Amino acid sequence: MLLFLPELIILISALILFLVSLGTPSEKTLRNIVLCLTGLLLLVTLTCINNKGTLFFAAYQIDLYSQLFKLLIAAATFIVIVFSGNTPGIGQRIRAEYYMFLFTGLLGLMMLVSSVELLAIFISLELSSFALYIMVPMRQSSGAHDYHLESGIKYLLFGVMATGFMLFGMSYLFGLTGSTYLKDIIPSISYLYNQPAAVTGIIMVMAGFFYKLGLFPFHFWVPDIYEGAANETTSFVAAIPKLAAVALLIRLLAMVSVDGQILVNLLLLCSICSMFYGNLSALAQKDVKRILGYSGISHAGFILFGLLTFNLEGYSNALYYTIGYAAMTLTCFLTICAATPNGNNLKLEDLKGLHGRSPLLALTFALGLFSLAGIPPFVGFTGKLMILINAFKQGYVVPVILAALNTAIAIYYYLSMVRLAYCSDDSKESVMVSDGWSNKSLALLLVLFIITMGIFPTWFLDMAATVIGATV
Amino acid sequence: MTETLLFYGFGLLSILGALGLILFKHPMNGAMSFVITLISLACLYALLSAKLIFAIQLIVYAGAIMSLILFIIMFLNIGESDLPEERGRWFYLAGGIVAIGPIAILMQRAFKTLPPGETAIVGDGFGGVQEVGMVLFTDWLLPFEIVSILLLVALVGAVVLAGKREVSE
Amino acid sequence: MSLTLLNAAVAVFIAICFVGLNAAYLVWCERKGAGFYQRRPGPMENGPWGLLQPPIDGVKLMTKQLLIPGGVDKAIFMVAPVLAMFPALISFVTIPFSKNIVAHPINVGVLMIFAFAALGGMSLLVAGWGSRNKYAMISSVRAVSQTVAYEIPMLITTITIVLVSGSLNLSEIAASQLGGFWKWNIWGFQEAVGYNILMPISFLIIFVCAVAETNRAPFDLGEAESELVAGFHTEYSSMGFGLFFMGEYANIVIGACLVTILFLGGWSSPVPLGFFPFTDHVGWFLLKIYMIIFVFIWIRWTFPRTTIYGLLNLSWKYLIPISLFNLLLTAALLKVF
Repeated sequence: MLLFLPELIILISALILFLVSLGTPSEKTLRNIVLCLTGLLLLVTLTCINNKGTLFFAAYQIDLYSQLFKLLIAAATFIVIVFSGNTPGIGQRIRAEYYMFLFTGLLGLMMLVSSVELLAIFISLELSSFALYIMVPMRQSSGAHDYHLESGIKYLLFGVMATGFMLFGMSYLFGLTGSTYLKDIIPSISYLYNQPAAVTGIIMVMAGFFYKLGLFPFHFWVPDIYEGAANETTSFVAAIPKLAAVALLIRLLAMVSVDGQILVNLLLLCSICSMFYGNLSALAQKDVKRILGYSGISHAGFILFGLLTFNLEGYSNALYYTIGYAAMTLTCFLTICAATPNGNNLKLEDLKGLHGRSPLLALTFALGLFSLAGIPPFVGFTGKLMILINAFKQGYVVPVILAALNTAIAIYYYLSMVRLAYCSDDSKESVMVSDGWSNKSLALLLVLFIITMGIFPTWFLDMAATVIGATV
Repeated sequence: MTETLLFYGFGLLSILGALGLILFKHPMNGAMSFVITLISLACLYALLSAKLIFAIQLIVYAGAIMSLILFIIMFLNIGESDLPEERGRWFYLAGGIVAIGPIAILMQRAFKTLPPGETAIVGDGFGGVQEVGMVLFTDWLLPFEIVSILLLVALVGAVVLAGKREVSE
Repeated sequence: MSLTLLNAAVAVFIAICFVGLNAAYLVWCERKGAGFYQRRPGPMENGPWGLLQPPIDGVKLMTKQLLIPGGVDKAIFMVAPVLAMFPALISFVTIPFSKNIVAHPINVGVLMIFAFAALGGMSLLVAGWGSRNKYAMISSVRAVSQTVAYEIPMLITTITIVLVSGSLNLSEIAASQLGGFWKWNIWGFQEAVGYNILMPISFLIIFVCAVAETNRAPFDLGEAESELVAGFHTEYSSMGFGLFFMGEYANIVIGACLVTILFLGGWSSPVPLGFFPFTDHVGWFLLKIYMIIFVFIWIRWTFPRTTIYGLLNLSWKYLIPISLFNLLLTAALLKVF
C-alpha cells in the first residue's frame, strides 16, 4: 500500500476534485484545495523516494529511478500550479474539472515511469494523453485567440496516430518475443535488433514517446498546441510529459545498443533533424509560446542525442539535461504566465519594456533564455557541453558539429527576445504584470536552481548515474 | 484446407474493406466498407477459435462503434455537393503506390528474416473466457484497472466539452 | 471442420424454415390477438379461422414490384434488409432447443446472441439513411438510440445470470435449472444460497429490455405510424419489406428464447414426474417461448406507446442504475454466502 502511496494520493485528489466540480466552489477555495493537494503530493513523493518493490504481478516497478522521476514530476507540477495563479485562461465554471484532468494526467505520467510492462505503459500513456486532449480545448474563448478547439483536435489526431504506431510496434515486439514484460523482451530482442521486424517494432514503440517529447517525425502538433492551449496548460505540456517520456525512453533504449546500426542511425537522423527543424522554424515566429515550442523540439533532439551514446554517462547526461530543460522552460513559462494576467497569448511585442514593468521577472526571463540558448554558466550550457563531449568520445564527429552549429543558430532568437525585453521602450497598451510574492520567490528559486545545476554539475550527474545504473 | 481458404477469403475481404474505406468518396460508403473489414476481422478471430474475441469484436466494433460513426455521418447529413472535389485522385493513388513500395519491400524482408521459432504457442484455450480472465486479473491487472480511470476521464471530458458551447453563448 | 461447416449449413437452413414459418404464423397470432383484445374476430376470410392468410400474404409480398426510390445509394439500400435478417438467422445456431437439439454449442453463446443483435441494430441505421426519406431517417435514429440504450442494462443484467450459473454457455445455463420449476433462475434458487431475491428483478429488467430491443409496443417509437409513416422501412416494398418483417419476428423469437433459457429453465419440465409429457424435452421449450410471445402480443395491444423521452429516460435513469446495483448486490451475495 505504501509503495503505491503517491499514485493513490493523486487518484484521491482527482476524485476529490471531481466531487468539488459537482458544486460551485469559489475561486479561492478551489485554489487552496488544489495547492494543498499538490503540496501533499510533493511531500509524499519526497518521503517515498527510497521505496523499493514491485506491484501488480511485477508489471509495476518501484525503485529509486521511478521515484526520482515521480518526485521531479510532482515538483514541476507544484511549480506550474503555483505560478498559474487563478488560471485565467480557463473558464470559472470548468476550473474544477480542469484540475481534475490535470491530476488524472499526472496519474498517468506517474504510472508511466513505474510501468515495466507494455500494456501498462500503453494505458498509462493514454491516460495522460486523454487528460491533455481535454485540457487543451478547455481554454476560455476570447476575441484574441479562438483556436483552442482547433488545436485540441490537432493534438488528438496526432496523438491518436502516434498511439496507433505505438500499439502496432508493441504487437511486433509481442509477436517476436511472446511477452509483454520489458524484462523478458529486452534479453530476447537483444540478438534480433538488426532484423527489420525488430527495428520496425522498436521504432514504432518509440514513436509514442517521440510524440510526447515532440521529436522530429512526430513534432507537428507542438507549435499549434503551444499557441492554442491556455498558458497554464502549455506550461504543463511543455515540461512534465517530457520528463516521463525520457524516463521511458531510457528504459526502452536498453533494447538497443551501439551494435544495432540501422536503429542508431535512424535515431541519430531524428535527433539532428529535430534540432535543425526546431531552431530554423523558431527564427520566424512572432508568438513567444510558439518560439518556446520550436525550441522544445530542438531540445528534445539534444536529449535524444545524449541517449544515443548508449553508455551510462550518456544516459545520465540526458537525464541531467532533461531536468535542466524542465527547469529552464518552467522559468520562461513562469514569466509568460505572470506577464499575461488576462490569459491571452504573449506576442513578441508584448515583451517590450518588460524590464520597466517588472525588473525581477525580466531578469528571470532573460536568465531562463540564456540558459536555453546554452550560455555559461547555466545548466543549458553545461548539459549541452557534456552531451557533445560524450558523443565526441564515442566517435560521432559529424553529428557533434551539426549540433554545435544548432546551438549557434538558437542563440539568435533567444537573445532577440532578451533584447526586446530590455532594450526597447514600453509599448502603450501593455498589460500589467502580476508579480506577487509567490511568483517572485518561485522565480528566484528556479533561477538559483538553474545556476546551481550549471555550476556544480558533478553532484547531479553522479546522482543521475547512480539512479540509472541501478535500473538499466 | 477449408481453414486456409477461409483465412484467405476473409483476409482479402478485410483488405478490400480497408481499401474501400479510403477510396470511396462518400463517408457513408467508406463506413460501410469499414464494417466489412471489422466483420471479416471478427471472422479471422473465429478461425483462431477465439470465440470470445469474435463476440467482443462484433459487439464493440461492428455494433457500438460503427453505430456511433454511422450516427454521426447521418447527423452531418452530407450531400453530394458537400463532398470535396478530388481532382488529382489518380495522381495521388499512383503516388501512394510508389510510396508503399519501399514499405512493402521492408515488410517482406522483415518476414523473411524472422527467426525460426515455435509457432504453436496457441493453446487449446486460446481466447476462451477463462483464459482471458486469468490473464486480465494477473499479468494485466494494472492496465485493466487503470482503464476505469481512463473511461472516467473520457466521460467527464465529453460532458465538459459538449457543455462548453452553452457557456460561451 | 467440414463436418461443423455442414452442421452450420443445415442449421441455417432449418433456421430459415423455422423463422419463415414463425414469422408467417406469428403475424396471424398477432392479428388474432389484436382482434381478441379489441373485441373483433380478426382475419376470417381465408381458410378456417383465417389460417390460410399467412401463405397468401407471402405470395402477395413476393409478387409485388420491388421499388427503389430515385437518388438512393442502391447498394446500401439493398444491403439493409439482408443485414436485418442475416444476424437474426445466425443467432439461432447457438440456441439450444433441448439437450440434443442445438446446431453448434458455443461456450460463449450468450455473448454471441448479443454480438449478432448488435449487427442488427446497424441494419436499421443503414436502412434509414439509405432510403433518403426523412421519416425513415428519424425513425432509424430513434430505433438505434433505443437499441443502444437497452443493450446496456440487458448486458449488465445478463452478467448476474452468468455469475449465478457460472457459465456463458446457453446449454449449461439451461441445464443448471433442470429439475422442477422451483429450480428456475427466475426464483433465484441455488443449493448454497437458498432463494436469491434479486433474480426476479433481473428477470423484470431483461424482460423489459427484450421488449424494447425488439422494438415492440409500448416501445415501438421507431415505427410510430402516427408520426413516421412506417418507420425505417417506409420505402421498402415487396421482399425488401418482407425481410425486415421476418427479421423482426425472428428477433422476437430470439428474445423469447433468451428469456426462456436464462430464467425459465429452457427445456426443463416444470414438474419432473419421469413419464413422457413431464420429462425434459423440446416441447416445454417451445411452450415457454410461445407463452412469452403471447405476453409480448398481450402487452402490445394493451399498453399505449410511450414517448421517445420516456423511453430513453426509463433506460438511462432507471434501468441502468438499477441493473448496476443489482449486479453489485448479486456478486456480493454470491461472494458472502
